[in-house]
Amino acid sequence: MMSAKSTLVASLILSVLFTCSVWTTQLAGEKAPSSTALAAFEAIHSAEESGAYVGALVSQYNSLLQNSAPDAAFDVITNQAIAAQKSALSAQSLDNLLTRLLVPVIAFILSFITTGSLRFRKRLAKERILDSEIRTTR
Amino acid sequence: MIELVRSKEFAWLFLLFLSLTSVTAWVVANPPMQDQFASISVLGADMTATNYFPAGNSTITPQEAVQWNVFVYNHLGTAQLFLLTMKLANQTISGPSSPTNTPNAGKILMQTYRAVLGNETWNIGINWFVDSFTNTTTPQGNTIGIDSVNVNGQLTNGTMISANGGQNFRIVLELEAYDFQTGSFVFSFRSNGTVRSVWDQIWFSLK
Repeated sequence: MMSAKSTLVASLILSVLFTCSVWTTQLAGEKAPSSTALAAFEAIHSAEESGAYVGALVSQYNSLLQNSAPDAAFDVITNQAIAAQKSALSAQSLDNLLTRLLVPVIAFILSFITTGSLRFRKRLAKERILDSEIRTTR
Repeated sequence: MIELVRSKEFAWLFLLFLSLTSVTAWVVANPPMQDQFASISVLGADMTATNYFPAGNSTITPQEAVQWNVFVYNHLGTAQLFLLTMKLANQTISGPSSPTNTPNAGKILMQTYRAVLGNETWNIGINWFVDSFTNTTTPQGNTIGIDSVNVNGQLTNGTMISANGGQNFRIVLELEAYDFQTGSFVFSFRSNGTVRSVWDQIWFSLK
């Protein structure tokens, strides 16, 4: 009988303490992001580092933060960020390949045009000299 | 045509143009590094850096609403997850300290998080007022203790920050950013391997 009474008193004290702690620590603003939310932001950051545009993902992320959304919603963002990173990486590798190909091709075309025009000018100059020599001999 | 390509002239020009196009491609792929920083600034209700308090001076009365606009600017190059903390402190409470990157030890009134894109400014409207206070008179003078503060409609009880004669209270605004190296928030951000602190504080008195 005594133990039941003391348990009741203890639970009453605990609940009062809990209520007080909640009451005193209540803060304005949002809740701290969970580890899943932080992982989602890390995925967004990685996608951005890979060259993906993350404006839409960041906007979605902020609305989830403000609404204290469940972890499952942040998992969706993580997957979207991973997909954005993959497509950015493949686009980047294509860009690198194009750059590596274009650098020698452009150099080749420019040198071909320059050499050709230089030779053409030389030929014209030679023709002029020959013409003038013919005129003088006549 | 093959004769032209095999000429010495062509070979020298090709080398010259190859080096020029390579340098151009490298410069385009590696733009110059910008100075990386984040900043925090506070403006009054009318978006100016003058009227921070309703009466025009820094003395307020309980229940008198104060409206501020806080701006957090991200110039760190990439999107950042920021944490803005609003604290109540007095003259004797330590921090914040930029050389040691130590935040203020005052009472937290509000914490808000936001992912901010590079070169984006985060605007936070803050409406606050002192909800209740205690005035204690001693032979040395009177001490005013702020018991509760309301920020954006949410009450923070048990602040228990006091000051002699109600003078020299301060609201401290601190910026923290999620640090990818440590997996936690740092005060305030990491730039070129060094942690730098960004904060702002506004002093006020209560009568």
